[in-house]
Amino acid sequence: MQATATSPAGAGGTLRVNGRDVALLPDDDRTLLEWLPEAVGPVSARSACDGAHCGSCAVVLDGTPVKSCTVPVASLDGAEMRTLDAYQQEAGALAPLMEALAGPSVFQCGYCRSAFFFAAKALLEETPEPGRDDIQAAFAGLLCRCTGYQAIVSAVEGAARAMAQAAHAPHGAKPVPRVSAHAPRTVAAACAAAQARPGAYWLAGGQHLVPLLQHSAQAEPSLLEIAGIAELGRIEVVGDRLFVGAGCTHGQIAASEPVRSALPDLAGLAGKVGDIYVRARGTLGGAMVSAWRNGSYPSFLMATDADVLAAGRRTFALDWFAERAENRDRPPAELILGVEIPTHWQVSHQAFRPRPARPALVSVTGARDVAGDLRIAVAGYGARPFLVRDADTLLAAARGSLPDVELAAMLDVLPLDDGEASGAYRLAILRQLLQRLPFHGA
Amino acid sequence: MNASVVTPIGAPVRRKEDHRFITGKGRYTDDLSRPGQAHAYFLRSPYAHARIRAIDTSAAIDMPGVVAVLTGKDLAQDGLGGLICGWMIHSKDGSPMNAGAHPALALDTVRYVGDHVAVIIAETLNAAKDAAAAVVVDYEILPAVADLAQAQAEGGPVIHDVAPRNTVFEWELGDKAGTEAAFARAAHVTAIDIVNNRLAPNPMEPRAAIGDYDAGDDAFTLWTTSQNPHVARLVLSAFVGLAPENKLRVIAPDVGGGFGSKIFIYAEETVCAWASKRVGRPVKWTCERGEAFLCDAHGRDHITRGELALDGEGRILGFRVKTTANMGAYLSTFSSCVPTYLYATLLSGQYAIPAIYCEVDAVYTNTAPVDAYRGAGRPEATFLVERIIDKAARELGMDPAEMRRRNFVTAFPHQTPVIMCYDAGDYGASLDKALALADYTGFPARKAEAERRGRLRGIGLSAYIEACGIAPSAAVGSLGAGVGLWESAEVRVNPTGNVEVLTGSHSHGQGHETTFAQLVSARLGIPIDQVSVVHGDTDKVQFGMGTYGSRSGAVGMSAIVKALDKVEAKAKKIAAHVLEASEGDIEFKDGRFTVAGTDRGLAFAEVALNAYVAHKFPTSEIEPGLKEGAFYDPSNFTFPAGCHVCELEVDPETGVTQIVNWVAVDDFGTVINPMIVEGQVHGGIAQGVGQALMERVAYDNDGQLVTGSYMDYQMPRAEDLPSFTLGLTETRCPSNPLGMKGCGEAGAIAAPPAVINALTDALGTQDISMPATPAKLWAVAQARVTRRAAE
Repeated sequence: MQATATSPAGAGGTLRVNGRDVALLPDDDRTLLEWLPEAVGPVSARSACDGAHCGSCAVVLDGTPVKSCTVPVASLDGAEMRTLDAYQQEAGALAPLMEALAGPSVFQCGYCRSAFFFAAKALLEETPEPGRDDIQAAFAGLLCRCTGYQAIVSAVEGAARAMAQAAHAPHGAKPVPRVSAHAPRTVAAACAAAQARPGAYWLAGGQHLVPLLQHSAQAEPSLLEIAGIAELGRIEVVGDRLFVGAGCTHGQIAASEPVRSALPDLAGLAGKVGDIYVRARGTLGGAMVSAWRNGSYPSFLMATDADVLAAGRRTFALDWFAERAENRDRPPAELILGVEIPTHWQVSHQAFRPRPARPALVSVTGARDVAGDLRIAVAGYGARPFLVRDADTLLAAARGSLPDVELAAMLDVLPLDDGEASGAYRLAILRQLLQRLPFHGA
Repeated sequence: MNASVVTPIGAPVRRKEDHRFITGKGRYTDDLSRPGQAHAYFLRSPYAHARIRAIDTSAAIDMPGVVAVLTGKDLAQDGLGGLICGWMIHSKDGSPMNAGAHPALALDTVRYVGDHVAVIIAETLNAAKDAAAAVVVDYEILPAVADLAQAQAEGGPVIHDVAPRNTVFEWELGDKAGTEAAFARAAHVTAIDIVNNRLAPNPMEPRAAIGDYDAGDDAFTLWTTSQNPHVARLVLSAFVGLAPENKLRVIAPDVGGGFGSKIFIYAEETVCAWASKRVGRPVKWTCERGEAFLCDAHGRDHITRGELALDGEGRILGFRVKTTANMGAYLSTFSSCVPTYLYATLLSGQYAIPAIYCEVDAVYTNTAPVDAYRGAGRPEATFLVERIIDKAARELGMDPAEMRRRNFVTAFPHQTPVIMCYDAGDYGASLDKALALADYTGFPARKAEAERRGRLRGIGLSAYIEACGIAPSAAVGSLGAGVGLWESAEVRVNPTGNVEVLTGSHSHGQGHETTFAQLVSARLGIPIDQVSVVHGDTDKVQFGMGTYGSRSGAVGMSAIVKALDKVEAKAKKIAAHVLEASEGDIEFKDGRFTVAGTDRGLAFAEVALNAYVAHKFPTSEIEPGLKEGAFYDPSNFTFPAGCHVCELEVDPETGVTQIVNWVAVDDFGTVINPMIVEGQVHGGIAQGVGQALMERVAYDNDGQLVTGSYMDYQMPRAEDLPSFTLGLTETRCPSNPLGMKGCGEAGAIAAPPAVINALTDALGTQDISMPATPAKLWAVAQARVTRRAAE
């Protein structure tokens, strides 16, 4: 295998940290968060949760905000990262943001500061003049226990005003995927590597997988990094179908012009996945594997009758998610290449998300074609996502005065009843979401 | 504001500590490393209740990188005592509380999931974790009880042999006969049943410790995430028996939030210090969030029945309360005072109540220990008082604001029937201001408008009071406290006129480095950047009681004032000699000592230099130098009070609550830095809203923790909270020199009843418990529809 220029043979390469090159160890199985203090001493990124819930460990990696507990350090040869410390030395165009966040009592104990700085930085790059709601939404996956957040939100509002007056750098450059020298660069190489290492996990964005592995009692599983495979990052319209590569981040899908014009609700739901950190790194393929039960993609892909393309086969989304439900405890052996979605639908996606940054409790997608045929898929209601059998009848029933028990009987799927919500509550929410679908009598 | 100018009290000064925090240069305990340190990992009980038949550590010791595997037997062998509860409570019958032993590592029994079984010390944390899996523990699983309501059942599991029916104490306060008499003549009685939900404090910085034994000096240093390092040293010396105080240094560097949970002396910190001598190397431990959910002391967890006796005009005649309080599996450091003297003493609220009687049963369960969490007893009291008065108003058809006004204490001092003597306040003023800011009179129109949109809108009041500035030493001593609750300060003036202030208070987000410096800057007339505040190190600071109970302003700063008085008095003597004037003619103003009626004078720095040079005054009469210390013991508690108004809307179809307006009008007495006070209020409200709408610690019937991560334990995020409208009213606190009352806990105390009162208003039923989650409110809203249909 060809070693890259930054990676001398036998070593783990280098990572540029706050302007200084730091050597990586070969086969280092630590996360970036674990590695940082041991390699460079204490920095502003700090551990405060069990993985990806709080943001206190945030850094910026190749221009992208990341929670450093979700990044394996072995994948970072040749990358460049900064902690908050670097911006204190030289804030550049972000000086007004640094200044605003240094205001009196914006923070109290100071422990969570990185979370909010890097989320605000990413928000202001996307949305130079955010409203208060935008700022609160950008902080969805972050935790501060001292402040009640309002002072931080106000400080970012003030910074945005100051920065909007200064010139704004154009944004939208795709982050460069970083992979270690040993990561496959093509689908064929990835599949060959997987055959050689049965039981290995595919590692794309790592948003779900890395924190999970950190707390796994089992020995370190082997990982196959796929972030560097270019063909997984494609988005393109071919005829009346839209291909979205499994390696596309939620942020890329949300911002993609082809997606926004062909299937605007797909861009919309991608823009609401997780939080600003998850959207910067988390991928479509990763979400299909980890959030297969109640994430937003399953209902969307099932209602639109998408195909899931894997190396060597093509499956209806419906069947693919059914298989996923059967094999929930095992990592997928096959490499997902992407999804191919027919674009002739009028689509509406409705989700109920009572907890910020978490998958929807229940989500519903309706898709209607020119002939008036309607498909509705539901996720989060039952033990697995499903396609409604007679969508028009169900929609009419949900809007009518049919009692809940009879509506439930029509669905012929038992609602989940767990610590998060009762079955009756899930049914009531599903009814609400069905009522919100903008389709009228067949 | 510029740091190089004198900063008066009340100025919104930027925080001095922020420069350190914003650079990521904050020095939290986990940022520190000691040369040669090893890492500790604790093997914890997977069972809520079990007897340990045997522990086999032999395989673990042989694992790569393992330095030592230690158990409770090793601790006992070294003669170390158990952890203590520092407040003795006596039952009604005069008997002392039934406190079970609390070893730092379990000896023969584990009593909750997460209880400490062994510590594994290794070269790396991962090596320690791997070895923990190789420790073989032979458990005999015992029946467990996690549910507070079942804990006192006859024939149930007994958690400590010393506590039959798991009852720690059966305590009472107040006048039983007088209260019975009040109920006998009542025109109306309102009763309420309340569960005050168990909470996890969750400061963002997890606990951490490094123990370091120096064989050369035979002395220990313990770096730890503590709100009161001096008390930690005292307990570890006097009770645990680790080392005498002169051989034990405790340092609490930057601490990332505490909210009470870092007051206590825990097993892990104790073990790290002890083990560092045992293994001859520094031992470091950092808590993982999952461990914090298991083992950081939880808060609240009460079941209460309250009854209010009223006359025909809505005046309160008497109040009767029966509370069962969950203490968890062991009595944590201050746990026993929380449901007693920090709770029942506040049951009079802001109201003139002639007779109060309260009984509290404290019980053990197979759950994590419960101790002080932001507010500690006062939120539980306020929730009860503010819920029952609201319910009474609804039952009597009175406006809740009018009901409160009719019963307010209006003359001060006011002696309540439950120990406290309120010294100053104007409850009508804070109510009026809050109602005006909330546009209370415009509410019916807003409610009607919301109803047209299909939303149920409600408004809720909370007129809270708390007892802070904890506390007069003799008074708390008479109630069972094992320590005095004064505070100390030392003001060191250096020869060039800059100042170091050493305080026994501790800052973990409150901004003491700024407010304390602001006080000194204003008093001595020197720029704020010439004042440094030193805290959190027992080798530097004389002694102190730490930061909790909103005491650092009222008590900690009062000690600084007392030391400043001494500095000024001595400096005046020196100035008189240098200026060749009589001491009585020396005036000190704006940083200058002047001879009255002349233009002759000296800057503060010149007097400081003269004090150290000592050429111009008789050292037989005046000692050289300018450094003064003071210990300040408060003469009373302080009584912050105020009124919060919550306005919210519930979507009956989803049960989702949106808080649309929040008004907080607080009387904290003198305010030193309004920005810091606002931050404290915001943060307190956020935690109170969390308790009301989403937070709860839950155990299943086997005592397994159900809410052990942020997946299951929901804390407020930015989108969950509204903007807050804050207002202040001010009555000076007469008992301390600055007139301060304290602000750190007010929001957490005031908020929960404001939210629930608003929800009961919106949904038209009193039957709403905390946390009022969407699923729960949806069910209430559905029942409301059904009820209306039936009517």
